[in-house]
Amino acid sequence: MHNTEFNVVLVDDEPDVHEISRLALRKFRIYGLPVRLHSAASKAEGIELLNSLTLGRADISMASVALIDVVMETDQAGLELCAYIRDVMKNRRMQLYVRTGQPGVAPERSVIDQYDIQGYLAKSEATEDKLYTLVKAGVRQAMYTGVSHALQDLLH
Amino acid sequence: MHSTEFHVVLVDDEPDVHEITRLALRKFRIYGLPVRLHSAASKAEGIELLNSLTLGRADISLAAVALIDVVMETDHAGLELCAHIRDVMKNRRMQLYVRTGQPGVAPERSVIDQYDIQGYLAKSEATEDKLYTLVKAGVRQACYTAVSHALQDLLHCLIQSASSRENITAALRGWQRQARLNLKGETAASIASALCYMVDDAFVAGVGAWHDEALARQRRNELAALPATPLNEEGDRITMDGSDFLMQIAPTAANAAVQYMLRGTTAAPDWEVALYHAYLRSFAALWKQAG
Repeated sequence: MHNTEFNVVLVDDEPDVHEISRLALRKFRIYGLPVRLHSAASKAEGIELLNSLTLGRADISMASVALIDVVMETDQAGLELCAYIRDVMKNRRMQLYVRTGQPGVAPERSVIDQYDIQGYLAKSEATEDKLYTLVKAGVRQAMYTGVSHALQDLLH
Repeated sequence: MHSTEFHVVLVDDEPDVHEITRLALRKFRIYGLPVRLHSAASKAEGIELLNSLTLGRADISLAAVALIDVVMETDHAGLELCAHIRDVMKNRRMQLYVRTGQPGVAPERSVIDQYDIQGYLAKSEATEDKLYTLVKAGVRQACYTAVSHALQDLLHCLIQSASSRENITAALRGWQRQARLNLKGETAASIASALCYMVDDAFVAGVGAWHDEALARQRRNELAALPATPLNEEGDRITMDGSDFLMQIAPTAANAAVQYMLRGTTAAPDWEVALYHAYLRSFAALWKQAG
C-alpha cells in the first residue's frame, strides 16, 4: 500500500450530514490508516472536487469511495454526478453509494438498474454502523482494484 | 462478457430463505442475462459447492456473489466460510455478503473489521429491494474484476513468451484453451464466446466459430464496414453490432496493427471496452517488439 490515508468524498447539501459523517469517521482506521473526508454540497461542487482529486488521468482518482446524496439542487443531481463519474471521467473503480431522504423520488431498483453504483441507502437506513461498513468495504474494494490496475499500467 | 448466466451462491440453514430468494431472483436480469442460484445449508456444504464452481484454479470461481448466513451449525459457521473463501481458496473477487438473524452474536463492526466482506445485513434489513441491490451491484463488481484480472493474467502469460511472434501465438492459443476448463479438465459449462486475433491482416488465433478463418474474415469484413467509434487520437477504434465487437489498434511506432473480434453473450459495457482497449494496446506493443 502506498497511501498514508484513504480519501472519501461526501456530496450532500445538508451541513449536518457532513458534521455527523466527519465525527463518525474520525477514529476510523482501514489497514491501520486514517480516512480523510472531502466535502461538497452540490453536483457542480462534487465535479470540481473530484477533478481536484484525479491522479494524472481523469479515470484515476485518489478518492476510493463517494457517498452521494440523490436530491440536492435538483431531484436527480446526485444521480447525474454518478453518471458523470462513470461515463465522463470513465472511473469504474471508485465505489459509489447513494443516499436519499426521499426514496419515492428515486426508488432503489430503478436507481440500481440505471446507474452503475455499489449501493443505495434510504437516510433512515444510514446508521453509523452502515457508514462504517460502506466505507471500510468500499475502500478495500477500491484498493484491491486500484493496486491490480496500477501494476497493469506499469507493464505498459 | 463470456457468461451466459451469472452464478450466485446462497448458504443458509433455513429452507424458507432459499425459497424466497429463488423467487426474488427468478425474473432478475443483469446486462440482460439471468442469475442462477446455488444453494447450500452449512459451512461444509458451502465449501463443497464452491469447490464445484471453480474454474481451473481454486481462486477463480464461476460464482460472482455469495450470500452467507452467519449462524448455522455453529455461531460462526458462516464467518468461517468467508475466511475459507478468502484465506484458503484465495478468492478475493467473489463479493461476500453476510446475513444474520442474531446481530448480537456477530456485531456488524467487528465482523467488518475481521472479515474481508462487502456487506452485512441483519435479517430485518434483508428486504427484497436490498437483495436486488446486493446481487446486481455484486455481480457487476465481480464481472469487472473478473474481466480485468483475466486480461491481466493473459498479458502476463504473453509477456513471458514475448521473445518471438510464434511463441506469443502459441501462448495465446494455449491460454484460450485453458481458460475454458475447470479443475477436472472438463469444458466449463455456461461460458460461451467466439473470438479472433488478426495482426497486419494475418489470422493469428481464433476460438469457437471464429476458429474457422474464412468465417472470421467474413464477419470481420461486415463489422469493418459499419461505422466505428474512435477510442483515442491515435486511430484506435471499435465497432459494435449486438453482442459482437471489432476493436482495431492502429499501427504506430510502438504498436502493430491489431484487429480483435469478440462475440460476447451481451453487448460490452463501457468499462469492458476500456479494459479490452488497454489489454490490446499492450498486445499490439508486445507483437511489435517481438518482430
